[in-house]
Amino acid sequence: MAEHEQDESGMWSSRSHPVSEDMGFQTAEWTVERIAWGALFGLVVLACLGLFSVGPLSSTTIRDGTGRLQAELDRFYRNGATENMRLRVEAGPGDETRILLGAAFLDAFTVEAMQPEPSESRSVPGGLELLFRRGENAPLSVYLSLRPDAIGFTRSEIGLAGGGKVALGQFIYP
Amino acid sequence: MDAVLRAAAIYLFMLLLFRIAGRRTLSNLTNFDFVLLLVIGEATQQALLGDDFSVTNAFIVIVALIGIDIGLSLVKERSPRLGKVLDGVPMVIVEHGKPLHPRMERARVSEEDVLQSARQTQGLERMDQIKYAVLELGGSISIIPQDGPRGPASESGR
Repeated sequence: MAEHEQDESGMWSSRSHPVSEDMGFQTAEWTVERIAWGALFGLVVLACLGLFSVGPLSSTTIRDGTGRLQAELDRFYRNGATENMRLRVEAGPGDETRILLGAAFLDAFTVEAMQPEPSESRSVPGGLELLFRRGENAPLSVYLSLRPDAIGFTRSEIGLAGGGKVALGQFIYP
Repeated sequence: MDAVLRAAAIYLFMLLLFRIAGRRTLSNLTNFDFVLLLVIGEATQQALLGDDFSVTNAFIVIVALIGIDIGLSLVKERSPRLGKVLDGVPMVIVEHGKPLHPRMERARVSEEDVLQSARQTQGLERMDQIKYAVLELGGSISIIPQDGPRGPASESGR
C-alpha cells in the first residue's frame, strides 16, 4: 500500500529520464483539449441549428412597411455557394409588378437564376428594375438563386416600384 | 495572394484541429482512420483551390503550404516554448514495468496499446518486460525493454 501511495504522489511529477517531461504543460494541455472538445461539439450543434446558413437560426422573413413585399432568405450566406431567396408580392391591381434590385444587392450577389424570368429588365438609377407579368389581381412569387460575392456583413435593398422596400442585412462567411 | 491566404487559413485550421483532437486520435491509422484522412483531404481540396483549377494555382498553394511548414519549423527551432505549444511534450506511461494508469487514462492510451507496441517493436510479451514506455510527440508509443532476463525483481529494490 505504501508503495502505491508513493506512486500516486509521483504520478504527476516530471521525469527527466528517459525523456524530459513537462507535466505542468501536459496537464494544461489536457485541460485546454477538453475545453476545445466541448467547443467542437458546440460548433457542430450550432452548425445544425443554422449558424453557418440553412437552419432555424438562419432563416428569416423580412417584410416592407406596407406588407406587400416580403423576402424569405437566410441571415447567413457563404461566399461562393449557391443560396436561395424567395420574394413574394401580394396581389394588387393591374397585371404587372416592378421589382427594383438595389445597387448594393447587385454588388454583393450574382443572380444565377430567377424563376419566373422577368419579361423586361432595365437599368435605373439605384439599381436594376425587373418587370414581371402576372395574372390580374394575382400574387407573385419570384425564386432567386444567388451566389454571394461579398464577404462579411452586407446590407442591400429590394424594393417595389411605387411601393415599399425591404432592407436586407446578411452575414456572408468566407 | 488569394491562393496563399487560402493555404495559410487551411494550414492553421488543420494545425489547430489536429492539436485539439490529441495526438492519439489518428496515430494508429487503422483502415478507417485512413479513409477518414482521405475524406478530410477531399473536403479540404475545394477550399484550397477555390474555382481556379489552373496548374499555377496548384503550384502556388503547394509552395505556400510547404513554405509555411518550413517557416514554422524554423521558428520552433528558435523558440522551444512555441515548439511545446505546437507539438506537445513526450510523456512516460510505463515505468519499470508499472503502467502509470492516471496518465494513460488522460492521454487515452490503454494497456493493450502499450502491449501491442511492445510486441510490434520489441517482441515483448508482458508488461513487466518493459522498462519504459514513452508516449511520443506523434502519438506513437516507444518501448524500452528491461535489461537482463527478468527486470522487475532487480528493479523493485531501487
